Amino acid sequence: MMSDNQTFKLSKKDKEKVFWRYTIVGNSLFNYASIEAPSLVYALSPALRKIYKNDDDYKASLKNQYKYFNTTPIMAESLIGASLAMEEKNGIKALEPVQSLKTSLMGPFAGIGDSIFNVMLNTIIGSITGSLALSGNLVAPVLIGFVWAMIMLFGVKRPLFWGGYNSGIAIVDKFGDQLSRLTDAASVLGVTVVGSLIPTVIKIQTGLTMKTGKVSTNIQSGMLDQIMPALLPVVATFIIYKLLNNKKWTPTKCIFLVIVFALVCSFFGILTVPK
Amino acid sequence: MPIILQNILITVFAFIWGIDTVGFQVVNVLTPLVVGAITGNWTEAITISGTFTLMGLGAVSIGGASVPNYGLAGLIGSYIAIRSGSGLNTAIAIGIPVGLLAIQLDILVKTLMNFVASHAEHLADKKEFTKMNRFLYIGPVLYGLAIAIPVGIVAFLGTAVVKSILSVIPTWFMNGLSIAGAMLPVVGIAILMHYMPLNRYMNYLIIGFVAAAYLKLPVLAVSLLGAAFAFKVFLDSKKASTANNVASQASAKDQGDDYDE
Repeated sequence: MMSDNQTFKLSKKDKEKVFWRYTIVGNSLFNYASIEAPSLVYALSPALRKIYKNDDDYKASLKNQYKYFNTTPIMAESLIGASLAMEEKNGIKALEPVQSLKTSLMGPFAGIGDSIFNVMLNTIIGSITGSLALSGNLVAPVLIGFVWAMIMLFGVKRPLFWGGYNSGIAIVDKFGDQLSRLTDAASVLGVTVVGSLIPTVIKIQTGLTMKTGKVSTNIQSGMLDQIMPALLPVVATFIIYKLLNNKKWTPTKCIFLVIVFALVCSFFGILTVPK
Repeated sequence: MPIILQNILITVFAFIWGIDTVGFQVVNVLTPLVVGAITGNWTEAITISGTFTLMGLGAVSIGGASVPNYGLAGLIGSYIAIRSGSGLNTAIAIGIPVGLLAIQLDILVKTLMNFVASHAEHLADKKEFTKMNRFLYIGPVLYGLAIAIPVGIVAFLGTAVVKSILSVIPTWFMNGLSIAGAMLPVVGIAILMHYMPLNRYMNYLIIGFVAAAYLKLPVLAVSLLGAAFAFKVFLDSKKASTANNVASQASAKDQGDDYDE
């Protein structure tokens, strides 16, 4: 049996606070490198502070939440709930399982969330309120918009957070010491998804053309795409992956490198804005 | 209401609106009400923002892509159109360029946010946790400014200024920022790869890549494929650990994870 004495039980208020902090801050810390990760740090930090009395453990947990995280913010509620539950229950031992859970589920959750919430429901609500407004109805559009926002808040986001929290507990309870095997299996799902992110999320396109005699070939579509789709993203991933092996190349330096590289390549017309 | 006060109110509202649209998403549905309250013309405010809502249908930001900000276009367009006493056409003529300028600002903010995020992480490294939490408020402030600045400029100075700002910034620089924006996920993904057991599971990385790049499978399909592999790995490890237990209790310790950092 695991000893539970070093972990801290959060009150309902502590957990509610995580929900509201995340729901309000949402994507307002969105950045290109780690996407939503800082929002998760912001949302979880007070609760994690209560779980980890020790500064080193707290730091390790925060560092874990700073890793790349990208999904539909609405769906993220459940993963935040689940990781909170797992860390509350197992403390520092939960960090790897938390990371695997987030990495393996963020892709499918984004797939579901983006299509259901961002595309489908928002388009439906927008078309209803928009056409009502144009037909001269002054009350209904705003009212429907507001009621919808409340339904999203209390009927979707909050249940997702608590559902995630409860299943996070359930996962820990059910699998107990098998968790490392489960994590290992989940990391297989995570690695597969990361493999699919390289060609879909990273976009690099060259605008160069090569002239041989009178025939000019577009290097992107005529050469690179023939060798392999998403060749440039693969090369870039490999380079950054290798650079990060070197302790001197911090993520920030890599970000700088990418920005400077993009500006230089844009100036000389080597790279174009990908469609 | 004096015009200067109206301008201040709409700029302040734009700041809150900018934060709300990337997070809470409640204040933004009240936009026509607020514009109506500031200008005193509810009818126009609601019908013009309705037009922009329809215009923006389907133009949604997915996975962090920057799209023209039709909500912002509706906000500033209806405000200027009502204030100048002109109709929908003025609203569109003013709203759309601002909505387009907002894309550039959005890319700029998301780029700057890389440094906010990495500095915040740096503060966590130094165990300055209170400072870190306070520093993170820069995020919402920047997103608020990205909306409040164009709205303020248009409200106080007029549209000519917006067009001239757009023409002063060189195209290669704006394109360069877009190129960087499309490339930057590479850093996040490479970091992620460092935390995954790639040495053991390199094969699944390749399978995921082939499924997305060659077979063009959507992310849900790739995930199901990954889940199927994960299920197999889970069952196999169960067999292995039972076998180990039977053979010798001591060797079970070999099951420890050795993720490469």
